[in-house]
Amino acid sequence: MTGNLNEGEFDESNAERLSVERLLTAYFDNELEPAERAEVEMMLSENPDLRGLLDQWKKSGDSLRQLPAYRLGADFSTVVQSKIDAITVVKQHGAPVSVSVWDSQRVGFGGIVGLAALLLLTLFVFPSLVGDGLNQQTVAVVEETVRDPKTPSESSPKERPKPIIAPRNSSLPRNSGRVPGAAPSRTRVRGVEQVVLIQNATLADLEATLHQHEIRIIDSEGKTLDGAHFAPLAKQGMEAIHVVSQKARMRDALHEIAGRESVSVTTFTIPRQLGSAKSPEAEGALALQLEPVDFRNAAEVNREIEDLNQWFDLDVEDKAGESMEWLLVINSPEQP
Amino acid sequence: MNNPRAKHEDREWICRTIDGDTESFGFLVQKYQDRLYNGMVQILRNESEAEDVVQDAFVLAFSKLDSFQGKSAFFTWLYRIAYNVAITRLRRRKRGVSLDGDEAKVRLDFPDGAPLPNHSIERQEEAIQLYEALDRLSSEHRSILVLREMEELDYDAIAEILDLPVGTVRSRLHRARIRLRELLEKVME
Repeated sequence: MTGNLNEGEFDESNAERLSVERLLTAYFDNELEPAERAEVEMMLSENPDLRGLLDQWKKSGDSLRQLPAYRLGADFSTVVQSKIDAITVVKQHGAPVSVSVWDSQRVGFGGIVGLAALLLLTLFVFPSLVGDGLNQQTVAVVEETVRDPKTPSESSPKERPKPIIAPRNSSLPRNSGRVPGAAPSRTRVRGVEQVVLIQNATLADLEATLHQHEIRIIDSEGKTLDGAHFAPLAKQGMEAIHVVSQKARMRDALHEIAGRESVSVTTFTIPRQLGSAKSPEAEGALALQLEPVDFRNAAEVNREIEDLNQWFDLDVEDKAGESMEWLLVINSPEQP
Repeated sequence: MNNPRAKHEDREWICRTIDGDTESFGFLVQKYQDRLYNGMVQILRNESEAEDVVQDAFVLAFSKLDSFQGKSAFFTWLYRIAYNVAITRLRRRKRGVSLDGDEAKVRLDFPDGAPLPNHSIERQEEAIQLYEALDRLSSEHRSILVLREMEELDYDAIAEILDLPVGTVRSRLHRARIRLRELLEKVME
Protein backbone atom coordinates (compact mmCIF):
# COMPACT_ATOMS: atom_id res chain seq x y z
CA MET A 1 0.00 0.00 0.00
CA THR A 2 1.15 3.53 -0.58
CA GLY A 3 2.47 5.74 2.16
CA ASN A 4 2.90 2.99 4.72
CA LEU A 5 5.68 4.22 6.96
CA ASN A 6 6.32 0.69 8.15
CA GLU A 7 7.39 -0.29 4.69
CA GLY A 8 10.37 2.02 4.69
CA GLU A 9 9.61 4.75 2.19
CA PHE A 10 11.71 7.01 4.35
CA ASP A 11 15.32 6.70 5.10
CA GLU A 12 15.06 7.58 8.75
CA SER A 13 16.15 5.65 11.76
CA ASN A 14 13.45 3.91 13.75
CA ALA A 15 13.32 6.74 16.23
CA GLU A 16 12.91 9.29 13.50
CA ARG A 17 10.28 7.16 11.83
CA LEU A 18 8.37 6.87 15.08
CA SER A 19 8.56 10.60 15.43
CA VAL A 20 7.18 11.08 11.90
CA GLU A 21 4.40 8.57 12.56
CA ARG A 22 3.38 10.36 15.70
CA LEU A 23 3.55 13.77 14.06
CA LEU A 24 1.52 12.66 11.08
CA THR A 25 -1.13 11.01 13.22
CA ALA A 26 -1.39 13.99 15.52
CA TYR A 27 -1.59 16.31 12.51
CA PHE A 28 -4.42 14.25 11.08
CA ASP A 29 -6.24 14.40 14.41
CA ASN A 30 -5.66 18.11 14.78
CA GLU A 31 -3.65 17.63 17.96
CA LEU A 32 -0.56 19.60 17.01
CA GLU A 33 0.66 23.06 17.93
CA PRO A 34 0.87 25.54 15.03
CA ALA A 35 4.65 25.17 14.68
CA GLU A 36 4.40 21.40 14.42
CA ARG A 37 1.50 21.67 11.99
CA ALA A 38 3.65 23.84 9.74
CA GLU A 39 6.41 21.26 9.91
CA VAL A 40 4.06 18.46 8.86
CA GLU A 41 2.52 20.56 6.09
CA MET A 42 5.98 21.15 4.71
CA MET A 43 6.59 17.40 4.79
CA LEU A 44 3.26 16.73 3.08
CA SER A 45 3.94 19.22 0.33
CA GLU A 46 7.07 17.28 -0.52
CA ASN A 47 5.56 13.82 -0.35
CA PRO A 48 2.42 12.84 -2.26
CA ASP A 49 2.48 9.35 -0.70
CA LEU A 50 1.90 10.86 2.69
CA ARG A 51 -0.97 12.93 1.38
CA GLY A 52 -2.45 9.75 -0.07
CA LEU A 53 -2.11 8.08 3.31
CA LEU A 54 -4.03 10.88 5.00
CA ASP A 55 -6.76 10.64 2.35
CA GLN A 56 -7.10 6.93 3.08
CA TRP A 57 -7.33 7.58 6.80
CA LYS A 58 -10.00 10.18 6.21
CA LYS A 59 -12.00 7.77 4.10
CA SER A 60 -11.75 5.00 6.72
CA GLY A 61 -12.67 7.40 9.50
CA ASP A 62 -15.70 8.68 7.59
CA SER A 63 -16.83 5.12 6.93
CA LEU A 64 -16.47 4.19 10.59
CA ARG A 65 -18.53 7.19 11.65
CA GLN A 66 -21.26 6.27 9.18
CA LEU A 67 -21.72 2.77 10.52
CA PRO A 68 -25.17 2.22 12.00
CA ALA A 69 -25.26 2.63 15.76
CA TYR A 70 -26.29 -0.09 18.18
CA ARG A 71 -28.95 0.85 20.68
CA LEU A 72 -30.14 -0.72 23.87
CA GLY A 73 -33.70 -1.79 24.58
CA ALA A 74 -36.11 0.61 26.25
CA ASP A 75 -36.00 -1.34 29.52
CA PHE A 76 -32.24 -1.14 29.94
CA SER A 77 -32.22 1.83 32.27
CA THR A 78 -34.94 0.17 34.38
CA VAL A 79 -32.76 -2.92 34.78
CA VAL A 80 -29.78 -0.79 35.82
CA GLN A 81 -31.96 1.23 38.17
CA SER A 82 -33.22 -1.92 39.88
CA LYS A 83 -29.65 -3.15 40.37
CA ILE A 84 -28.72 0.21 41.81
CA ASP A 85 -31.75 0.18 44.07
CA ALA A 86 -30.62 -3.20 45.38
CA ILE A 87 -27.28 -1.67 46.29
CA THR A 88 -28.80 1.33 47.96
CA VAL A 89 -31.08 -0.76 50.12
CA VAL A 90 -28.12 -0.97 52.44
CA LYS A 91 -28.09 2.77 52.76
CA GLN A 92 -31.81 3.06 53.40
CA HIS A 93 -31.77 1.39 56.77
CA GLY A 94 -31.29 4.65 58.63
CA ALA A 95 -28.39 5.15 60.94
CA PRO A 96 -25.29 3.18 60.11
CA VAL A 97 -24.80 0.07 62.13
CA SER A 98 -21.45 0.45 63.75
CA VAL A 99 -20.44 -3.05 64.53
CA SER A 100 -17.20 -4.82 64.70
CA VAL A 101 -16.97 -8.20 63.12
CA TRP A 102 -15.59 -9.40 66.42
CA ASP A 103 -18.88 -8.71 68.14
CA SER A 104 -19.55 -11.59 70.47
CA GLN A 105 -23.33 -11.56 69.96
CA ARG A 106 -22.99 -12.06 66.26
CA VAL A 107 -19.93 -14.08 65.83
CA GLY A 108 -20.09 -16.14 68.96
CA PHE A 109 -17.23 -16.80 71.28
CA GLY A 110 -15.94 -19.76 69.35
CA GLY A 111 -15.96 -17.72 66.21
CA ILE A 112 -14.09 -14.84 67.78
CA VAL A 113 -11.50 -17.01 69.37
CA GLY A 114 -11.20 -19.12 66.27
CA LEU A 115 -10.66 -16.13 64.10
CA ALA A 116 -8.33 -14.61 66.63
CA ALA A 117 -6.39 -17.84 66.75
CA LEU A 118 -6.17 -17.85 63.01
CA LEU A 119 -4.94 -14.30 63.00
CA LEU A 120 -2.47 -15.02 65.78
CA LEU A 121 -1.04 -17.85 63.78
CA THR A 122 -1.21 -15.70 60.73
CA LEU A 123 1.05 -13.22 62.46
CA PHE A 124 3.77 -15.81 62.26
CA VAL A 125 3.23 -17.10 58.79
CA PHE A 126 1.51 -14.19 57.10
CA PRO A 127 2.52 -11.01 58.90
CA SER A 128 1.67 -8.80 55.96
CA LEU A 129 -1.97 -9.78 56.31
CA VAL A 130 -2.09 -7.88 59.51
CA GLY A 131 0.43 -5.20 58.81
CA ASP A 132 0.79 -1.82 60.35
CA GLY A 133 -2.53 -0.59 61.57
CA LEU A 134 -1.76 2.92 60.43
CA ASN A 135 -1.04 1.98 56.87
CA GLN A 136 -2.74 -1.26 56.17
CA GLN A 137 -6.09 -2.59 57.23
CA THR A 138 -7.60 -5.98 57.17
CA VAL A 139 -11.14 -5.36 56.09
CA ALA A 140 -13.90 -7.54 57.35
CA VAL A 141 -17.23 -8.00 55.67
CA VAL A 142 -20.22 -9.70 57.12
CA GLU A 143 -23.22 -10.38 54.98
CA GLU A 144 -26.13 -12.15 56.56
CA THR A 145 -27.50 -14.47 53.97
CA VAL A 146 -29.02 -17.46 55.68
CA ARG A 147 -32.73 -17.02 56.23
CA ASP A 148 -35.66 -19.10 57.11
CA PRO A 149 -37.08 -20.01 53.69
CA LYS A 150 -40.59 -19.31 54.97
CA THR A 151 -39.75 -15.75 55.85
CA PRO A 152 -41.69 -13.60 53.38
CA SER A 153 -39.16 -10.82 53.68
CA GLU A 154 -36.96 -12.56 51.14
CA SER A 155 -39.05 -11.01 48.43
CA SER A 156 -38.65 -7.60 49.95
CA PRO A 157 -35.08 -6.38 49.63
CA LYS A 158 -35.69 -3.55 52.08
CA GLU A 159 -36.03 -6.04 54.88
CA ARG A 160 -32.69 -7.64 54.28
CA PRO A 161 -30.33 -7.20 57.17
CA LYS A 162 -27.60 -4.72 56.65
CA PRO A 163 -24.19 -6.08 55.84
CA ILE A 164 -21.69 -5.08 58.42
CA ILE A 165 -18.08 -4.27 58.12
CA ALA A 166 -15.44 -2.87 60.34
CA PRO A 167 -11.79 -2.29 59.73
CA ARG A 168 -9.82 -4.63 61.91
CA ASN A 169 -8.36 -1.85 63.96
CA SER A 170 -11.63 -0.02 64.23
CA SER A 171 -12.55 1.44 67.57
CA LEU A 172 -16.22 1.45 66.65
CA PRO A 173 -18.63 0.48 69.40
CA ARG A 174 -19.79 -3.10 69.26
CA ASN A 175 -23.43 -4.00 69.21
CA SER A 176 -25.67 -6.69 67.90
CA GLY A 177 -25.64 -5.44 64.37
CA ARG A 178 -29.35 -5.96 64.03
CA VAL A 179 -31.09 -3.63 61.68
CA PRO A 180 -34.01 -1.83 63.33
CA GLY A 181 -37.24 -3.27 62.04
CA ALA A 182 -35.59 -6.02 60.07
CA ALA A 183 -37.06 -9.48 60.14
CA PRO A 184 -35.20 -11.85 62.42
CA SER A 185 -32.77 -14.02 60.60
CA ARG A 186 -30.58 -16.94 61.42
CA THR A 187 -26.92 -16.33 60.92
CA ARG A 188 -24.49 -19.15 61.06
CA VAL A 189 -21.14 -17.73 61.82
CA ARG A 190 -18.48 -20.00 63.11
CA GLY A 191 -15.25 -18.25 62.35
CA VAL A 192 -13.19 -18.49 59.23
CA GLU A 193 -13.54 -21.82 57.50
CA GLN A 194 -11.98 -21.13 54.16
CA VAL A 195 -8.77 -19.35 53.31
CA VAL A 196 -8.64 -18.33 49.69
CA LEU A 197 -5.43 -17.10 48.15
CA ILE A 198 -6.04 -14.97 45.09
CA GLN A 199 -2.92 -14.04 43.22
CA ASN A 200 -2.58 -11.39 40.55
CA ALA A 201 -6.20 -10.32 40.43
CA THR A 202 -6.61 -6.60 40.19
CA LEU A 203 -8.58 -5.25 43.07
CA ALA A 204 -10.95 -3.49 40.70
CA ASP A 205 -11.68 -6.83 39.02
CA LEU A 206 -12.13 -8.53 42.33
CA GLU A 207 -14.40 -5.81 43.55
CA ALA A 208 -16.48 -6.02 40.38
CA THR A 209 -16.82 -9.77 40.70
CA LEU A 210 -17.80 -9.73 44.34
CA HIS A 211 -20.25 -6.99 43.54
CA GLN A 212 -21.73 -8.94 40.67
CA HIS A 213 -22.37 -11.88 42.95
CA GLU A 214 -23.96 -9.59 45.50
CA ILE A 215 -21.07 -9.93 47.88
CA ARG A 216 -20.58 -6.35 48.85
CA ILE A 217 -17.68 -4.76 50.57
CA ILE A 218 -18.91 -1.87 52.62
CA ASP A 219 -17.53 0.11 55.48
CA SER A 220 -19.00 0.65 58.90
CA GLU A 221 -21.08 3.54 57.62
CA GLY A 222 -22.70 1.51 54.90
CA LYS A 223 -20.54 3.02 52.17
CA THR A 224 -19.44 0.65 49.46
CA LEU A 225 -15.70 0.32 49.32
CA ASP A 226 -14.15 0.23 45.91
CA GLY A 227 -10.92 -0.52 44.14
CA ALA A 228 -9.74 3.03 44.67
CA HIS A 229 -9.97 2.45 48.40
CA PHE A 230 -7.87 -0.68 48.24
CA ALA A 231 -5.34 0.44 45.67
CA PRO A 232 -2.96 2.26 48.04
CA LEU A 233 -3.05 -0.74 50.35
CA ALA A 234 -2.49 -3.20 47.55
CA LYS A 235 0.70 -1.43 46.62
CA GLN A 236 2.07 -2.34 50.00
CA GLY A 237 1.68 -6.03 49.41
CA MET A 238 -1.24 -8.09 50.53
CA GLU A 239 -4.75 -7.48 51.64
CA ALA A 240 -7.13 -9.71 53.49
CA ILE A 241 -10.88 -9.50 53.36
CA HIS A 242 -13.06 -11.45 55.73
CA VAL A 243 -16.35 -12.40 54.11
CA VAL A 244 -19.42 -14.22 55.26
CA SER A 245 -21.43 -15.37 52.31
CA GLN A 246 -23.40 -18.27 50.97
CA LYS A 247 -21.17 -20.94 49.63
CA ALA A 248 -22.83 -20.91 46.20
CA ARG A 249 -22.26 -17.20 45.78
CA MET A 250 -18.65 -17.40 46.76
CA ARG A 251 -18.12 -20.44 44.58
CA ASP A 252 -19.50 -18.54 41.57
CA ALA A 253 -17.43 -15.49 42.36
CA LEU A 254 -14.26 -17.53 42.80
CA HIS A 255 -14.98 -19.46 39.63
CA GLU A 256 -15.22 -16.20 37.76
CA ILE A 257 -12.08 -14.78 39.32
CA ALA A 258 -10.19 -17.98 38.56
CA GLY A 259 -11.27 -17.71 34.91
CA ARG A 260 -9.18 -14.62 34.40
CA GLU A 261 -5.87 -14.64 32.70
CA SER A 262 -2.91 -14.89 35.07
CA VAL A 263 -5.05 -15.16 38.16
CA SER A 264 -4.69 -18.16 40.39
CA VAL A 265 -7.06 -19.09 43.17
CA THR A 266 -6.22 -21.58 45.88
CA THR A 267 -8.75 -22.54 48.51
CA PHE A 268 -8.00 -24.18 51.84
CA THR A 269 -10.41 -25.34 54.48
CA ILE A 270 -9.61 -24.66 58.09
CA PRO A 271 -10.13 -27.72 60.28
CA ARG A 272 -13.13 -27.37 62.54
CA GLN A 273 -11.09 -27.70 65.71
CA LEU A 274 -9.31 -24.47 64.91
CA GLY A 275 -12.61 -22.63 64.82
CA SER A 276 -13.51 -23.88 68.30
CA ALA A 277 -10.12 -23.40 69.87
CA LYS A 278 -10.12 -21.28 72.98
CA SER A 279 -7.11 -19.12 73.32
CA PRO A 280 -7.52 -15.97 75.42
CA GLU A 281 -4.07 -14.84 74.37
CA ALA A 282 -5.14 -14.98 70.78
CA GLU A 283 -7.65 -12.20 71.18
CA GLY A 284 -4.97 -9.98 72.62
CA ALA A 285 -2.97 -10.61 69.51
CA LEU A 286 -5.46 -8.54 67.57
CA ALA A 287 -3.93 -5.48 69.08
CA LEU A 288 -0.49 -6.36 67.83
CA GLN A 289 0.85 -4.22 65.08
CA LEU A 290 3.68 -5.46 62.97
CA GLU A 291 5.50 -3.89 60.11
CA PRO A 292 4.04 -5.02 56.80
CA VAL A 293 6.08 -7.50 54.88
CA ASP A 294 6.17 -7.23 51.13
CA PHE A 295 6.47 -10.48 49.27
CA ARG A 296 8.96 -10.04 46.50
CA ASN A 297 7.67 -12.65 44.13
CA ALA A 298 5.12 -15.40 43.61
CA ALA A 299 7.51 -18.05 44.89
CA GLU A 300 7.67 -16.34 48.26
CA VAL A 301 3.90 -16.17 48.38
CA ASN A 302 3.61 -19.83 47.53
CA ARG A 303 6.14 -20.76 50.19
CA GLU A 304 4.13 -18.90 52.79
CA ILE A 305 0.96 -20.59 51.65
CA GLU A 306 2.61 -23.98 51.83
CA ASP A 307 3.69 -23.20 55.36
CA LEU A 308 0.17 -22.11 56.17
CA ASN A 309 -1.17 -25.30 54.69
CA GLN A 310 1.18 -27.47 56.73
CA TRP A 311 0.70 -25.47 59.88
CA PHE A 312 -3.08 -25.81 59.81
CA ASP A 313 -3.09 -29.23 58.22
CA LEU A 314 -5.57 -27.87 55.74
CA ASP A 315 -7.86 -30.03 53.73
CA VAL A 316 -11.03 -29.74 51.68
CA GLU A 317 -14.43 -29.98 53.22
CA ASP A 318 -17.83 -29.59 51.61
CA LYS A 319 -20.67 -27.72 53.24
CA ALA A 320 -22.98 -27.17 50.30
CA GLY A 321 -25.43 -24.33 50.51
CA GLU A 322 -24.42 -23.04 53.91
CA SER A 323 -23.27 -19.62 54.82
CA MET A 324 -19.57 -19.70 55.48
CA GLU A 325 -16.82 -17.39 56.52
CA TRP A 326 -13.95 -16.82 54.18
CA LEU A 327 -10.67 -15.07 54.42
CA LEU A 328 -9.72 -13.80 51.00
CA VAL A 329 -5.98 -13.24 50.83
CA ILE A 330 -5.29 -11.07 47.85
CA ASN A 331 -1.91 -10.63 46.30
CA SER A 332 -2.70 -7.95 43.80
CA PRO A 333 -0.61 -6.35 41.09
CA GLU A 334 -0.14 -2.63 41.36
CA GLN A 335 -3.16 -0.60 40.41
CA PRO A 336 -2.86 2.06 37.73
CA MET B 1 -17.68 15.59 25.54
CA ASN B 2 -16.25 19.02 26.20
CA ASN B 3 -19.53 20.83 26.18
CA PRO B 4 -19.45 22.87 29.40
CA ARG B 5 -23.23 22.85 29.69
CA ALA B 6 -23.33 19.06 29.42
CA LYS B 7 -20.52 18.83 31.95
CA HIS B 8 -22.39 21.09 34.34
CA GLU B 9 -25.53 19.02 33.88
CA ASP B 10 -23.61 15.83 34.60
CA ARG B 11 -22.06 17.35 37.69
CA GLU B 12 -25.49 18.35 38.93
CA TRP B 13 -26.81 14.80 38.54
CA ILE B 14 -23.70 13.34 40.12
CA CYS B 15 -24.01 15.60 43.16
CA ARG B 16 -27.68 14.74 43.55
CA THR B 17 -26.92 11.05 43.29
CA ILE B 18 -24.22 11.28 45.93
CA ASP B 19 -26.73 13.12 48.11
CA GLY B 20 -29.01 10.09 47.88
CA ASP B 21 -31.23 10.89 44.92
CA THR B 22 -30.59 7.73 42.91
CA GLU B 23 -33.07 8.75 40.24
CA SER B 24 -30.61 11.41 39.15
CA PHE B 25 -28.21 8.64 38.27
CA GLY B 26 -30.97 7.36 36.00
CA PHE B 27 -30.59 10.52 33.91
CA LEU B 28 -26.91 9.76 33.46
CA VAL B 29 -27.74 6.20 32.48
CA GLN B 30 -30.25 7.34 29.89
CA LYS B 31 -27.93 9.97 28.55
CA TYR B 32 -24.95 7.70 28.00
CA GLN B 33 -26.26 4.16 27.71
CA ASP B 34 -26.52 3.97 23.93
CA ARG B 35 -23.26 5.74 23.28
CA LEU B 36 -21.43 3.50 25.69
CA TYR B 37 -23.18 0.41 24.37
CA ASN B 38 -22.31 1.19 20.77
CA GLY B 39 -18.65 1.60 21.71
CA MET B 40 -18.62 -1.64 23.69
CA VAL B 41 -20.31 -3.56 20.85
CA GLN B 42 -17.59 -2.39 18.50
CA ILE B 43 -14.81 -3.30 20.93
CA LEU B 44 -16.24 -6.67 21.97
CA ARG B 45 -17.93 -7.49 18.65
CA ASN B 46 -20.75 -9.06 20.60
CA GLU B 47 -24.04 -7.41 21.48
CA SER B 48 -25.06 -9.43 24.51
CA GLU B 49 -21.61 -9.22 26.09
CA ALA B 50 -21.62 -5.49 25.44
CA GLU B 51 -24.97 -5.15 27.20
CA ASP B 52 -23.62 -6.99 30.24
CA VAL B 53 -20.53 -4.83 30.26
CA VAL B 54 -22.51 -1.60 30.07
CA GLN B 55 -24.78 -2.77 32.85
CA ASP B 56 -21.82 -3.68 35.05
CA ALA B 57 -20.13 -0.40 34.21
CA PHE B 58 -23.10 1.68 35.32
CA VAL B 59 -23.48 -0.27 38.54
CA LEU B 60 -19.77 0.07 39.25
CA ALA B 61 -19.85 3.75 38.36
CA PHE B 62 -22.73 4.25 40.76
CA SER B 63 -20.92 2.50 43.57
CA LYS B 64 -17.74 4.48 42.92
CA LEU B 65 -19.39 7.78 42.18
CA ASP B 66 -18.05 9.56 45.22
CA SER B 67 -14.52 8.83 44.01
CA PHE B 68 -15.19 10.66 40.74
CA GLN B 69 -13.29 13.90 41.12
CA GLY B 70 -14.52 15.64 38.00
CA LYS B 71 -11.03 16.10 36.57
CA SER B 72 -12.20 14.44 33.38
CA ALA B 73 -15.62 14.29 31.78
CA PHE B 74 -18.02 11.85 33.40
CA PHE B 75 -18.32 9.94 30.15
CA THR B 76 -14.53 9.45 29.96
CA TRP B 77 -14.51 8.11 33.49
CA LEU B 78 -17.49 5.88 32.79
CA TYR B 79 -15.94 4.66 29.57
CA ARG B 80 -12.77 3.72 31.39
CA ILE B 81 -14.73 1.59 33.83
CA ALA B 82 -16.60 -0.08 30.97
CA TYR B 83 -13.40 -0.57 29.01
CA ASN B 84 -11.73 -2.32 31.95
CA VAL B 85 -14.71 -4.64 32.34
CA ALA B 86 -14.67 -5.31 28.59
CA ILE B 87 -10.95 -6.04 28.55
CA THR B 88 -11.38 -8.56 31.34
CA ARG B 89 -13.95 -10.33 29.17
CA LEU B 90 -11.75 -10.19 26.13
CA ARG B 91 -8.87 -11.73 28.06
CA ARG B 92 -11.11 -14.48 29.33
CA ARG B 93 -12.36 -15.12 25.82
CA LYS B 94 -8.80 -15.17 24.50
CA ARG B 95 -7.85 -17.68 27.12
CA GLY B 96 -10.73 -19.89 26.02
CA VAL B 97 -12.61 -19.74 29.30
CA SER B 98 -16.26 -18.87 29.11
CA LEU B 99 -18.78 -19.35 31.84
CA ASP B 100 -21.49 -20.29 29.38
CA GLY B 101 -19.19 -22.65 27.54
CA ASP B 102 -19.77 -21.01 24.18
CA GLU B 103 -16.35 -20.52 22.66
CA ALA B 104 -17.43 -20.09 19.06
CA LYS B 105 -16.67 -16.69 17.61
CA VAL B 106 -19.92 -15.11 16.60
CA ARG B 107 -19.76 -12.62 13.79
CA LEU B 108 -21.36 -9.33 14.62
CA ASP B 109 -24.38 -8.39 12.54
CA PHE B 110 -25.64 -4.94 11.78
CA PRO B 111 -27.97 -3.59 14.42
CA ASP B 112 -31.59 -4.62 14.02
CA GLY B 113 -33.71 -2.20 12.07
CA ALA B 114 -30.89 0.27 11.52
CA PRO B 115 -30.61 1.67 8.02
CA LEU B 116 -27.30 0.94 6.37
CA PRO B 117 -25.21 3.92 5.39
CA ASN B 118 -26.88 5.96 2.66
CA HIS B 119 -28.89 2.92 1.55
CA SER B 120 -26.79 2.54 -1.59
CA ILE B 121 -25.59 -0.95 -2.46
CA GLU B 122 -22.06 0.33 -2.82
CA ARG B 123 -22.14 1.89 0.64
CA GLN B 124 -23.71 -1.23 2.11
CA GLU B 125 -20.96 -3.35 0.61
CA GLU B 126 -18.38 -0.98 2.02
CA ALA B 127 -19.94 -1.18 5.46
CA ILE B 128 -19.88 -4.98 5.34
CA GLN B 129 -16.22 -4.93 4.38
CA LEU B 130 -15.52 -2.52 7.20
CA TYR B 131 -17.23 -4.88 9.63
CA GLU B 132 -15.10 -7.75 8.42
CA ALA B 133 -11.95 -5.69 8.78
CA LEU B 134 -12.93 -4.60 12.29
CA ASP B 135 -13.52 -8.24 13.20
CA ARG B 136 -9.98 -9.08 12.17
CA LEU B 137 -8.30 -6.17 13.91
CA SER B 138 -6.65 -6.80 17.25
CA SER B 139 -8.73 -5.60 20.18
CA GLU B 140 -6.06 -2.99 20.96
CA HIS B 141 -6.23 -1.48 17.50
CA ARG B 142 -9.98 -1.75 17.33
CA SER B 143 -10.42 -0.06 20.71
CA ILE B 144 -8.27 2.92 19.86
CA LEU B 145 -9.99 3.38 16.49
CA VAL B 146 -13.41 3.24 18.11
CA LEU B 147 -12.37 5.85 20.66
CA ARG B 148 -10.88 8.20 18.11
CA GLU B 149 -12.95 7.73 14.97
CA MET B 150 -16.34 6.84 16.35
CA GLU B 151 -16.33 8.48 19.77
CA GLU B 152 -14.19 11.34 18.47
CA LEU B 153 -12.38 11.61 21.77
CA ASP B 154 -9.21 13.67 22.03
CA TYR B 155 -5.85 12.13 22.83
CA ASP B 156 -5.97 13.02 26.50
CA ALA B 157 -9.29 11.27 26.96
CA ILE B 158 -8.10 8.24 24.99
CA ALA B 159 -4.93 8.11 27.06
CA GLU B 160 -6.98 8.21 30.22
CA ILE B 161 -9.36 5.48 29.14
CA LEU B 162 -6.67 3.15 27.85
CA ASP B 163 -4.24 4.10 30.59
CA LEU B 164 -1.52 4.91 28.08
CA PRO B 165 0.88 7.81 27.61
CA VAL B 166 -0.27 10.24 24.92
CA GLY B 167 2.79 9.35 22.81
CA THR B 168 1.70 5.73 22.77
CA VAL B 169 -1.81 6.78 21.79
CA ARG B 170 -0.34 8.53 18.75
CA SER B 171 1.80 5.63 17.60
CA ARG B 172 -0.87 3.03 18.30
CA LEU B 173 -3.41 5.05 16.37
CA HIS B 174 -0.99 5.29 13.50
CA ARG B 175 -0.53 1.53 13.38
CA ALA B 176 -4.21 0.85 13.87
CA ARG B 177 -5.09 3.02 10.89
CA ILE B 178 -2.51 1.39 8.71
CA ARG B 179 -3.61 -2.06 9.79
CA LEU B 180 -7.25 -1.22 9.11
CA ARG B 181 -6.37 -0.11 5.58
CA GLU B 182 -4.42 -3.32 5.02
CA LEU B 183 -7.32 -5.43 6.21
CA LEU B 184 -9.78 -3.47 4.12
CA GLU B 185 -7.64 -4.09 1.07
CA LYS B 186 -7.60 -7.79 1.91
CA VAL B 187 -11.36 -8.10 2.35
CA MET B 188 -11.95 -6.14 -0.85
CA GLU B 189 -9.84 -8.60 -2.85
